[in-house]
Amino acid sequence: MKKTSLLIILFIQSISIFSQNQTNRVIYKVGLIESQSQELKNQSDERKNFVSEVKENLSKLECELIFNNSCSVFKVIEKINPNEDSFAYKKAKNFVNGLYYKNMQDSLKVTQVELSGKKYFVKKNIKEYNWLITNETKIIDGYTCYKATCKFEEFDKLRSKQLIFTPEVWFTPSIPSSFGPKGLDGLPGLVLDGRFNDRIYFYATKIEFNVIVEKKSLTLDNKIPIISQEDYNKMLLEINEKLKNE
Amino acid sequence: MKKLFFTAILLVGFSGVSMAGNPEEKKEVLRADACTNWAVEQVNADEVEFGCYTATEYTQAVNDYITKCKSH
Repeated sequence: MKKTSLLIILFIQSISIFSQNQTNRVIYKVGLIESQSQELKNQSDERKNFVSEVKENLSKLECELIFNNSCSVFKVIEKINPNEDSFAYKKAKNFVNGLYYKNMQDSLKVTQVELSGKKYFVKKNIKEYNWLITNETKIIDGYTCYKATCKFEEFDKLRSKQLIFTPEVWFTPSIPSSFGPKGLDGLPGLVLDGRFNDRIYFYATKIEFNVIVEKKSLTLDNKIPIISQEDYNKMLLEINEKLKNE
Repeated sequence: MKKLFFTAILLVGFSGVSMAGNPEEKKEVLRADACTNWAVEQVNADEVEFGCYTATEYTQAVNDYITKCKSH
């Protein structure tokens, strides 16, 4: 009888945690799988210093995923940084690459980018990744996580070649929110660890429920225009041409 | 005779102007190419250290390095 009551209480509690429109927050750090290549050894001292500076900046970066029942925002936590203007810091920040917003109710997924000083939201496919969920599990911060992988292909016009990526994530069905870091989402649970390419990965270091955030944290700035990925790539290529001919 | 003399002067003058213009032009083209080549080299080296870039990230990174190169 006692056990049944306890289970009922736990069930009601978990429903109340995830069904109310409360706001939650996950802090992620950025990890780097070191390259086994010997190429850097043959590079100039300037290049070696730059790479180690980028790595140092990457290790200090912290990102946050704020989410409720229907929306999520993922971005770098801005901190006062004496190296803010350094190219290495900007480079490290570029690996996170702006802000990611997802709204399940409106079936909208965008990333915020900046081009020639102007901000844009680039529209993504809400079902961007076709995940394959495996039976492999691991425990992250007390949560049982399942591994999911997928294949992501795209054509790179500048390099004239087909690119193939194999993103990999660890998600937990115990937190039934279909969000994750850097747009790595669309699974039946929150992504606590994930990578898009084979080197840089995002891992959760803190999970907070029912946090108080500014109202605008989970809303899109309607002054910023929404453009397609094709239009954005076109604009980037135009800038590339302009830079080459300047 | 006078006509021939002026024609010769004009020809020398014209070739002088065009000779002065060409190296400058070539230098500009070389500098732009050098920046692009350097940018591509840096991005390729980045990919070894930090993993493959998407098409968007690659173009963005090349643009950033070209801008950096040209600002020096």
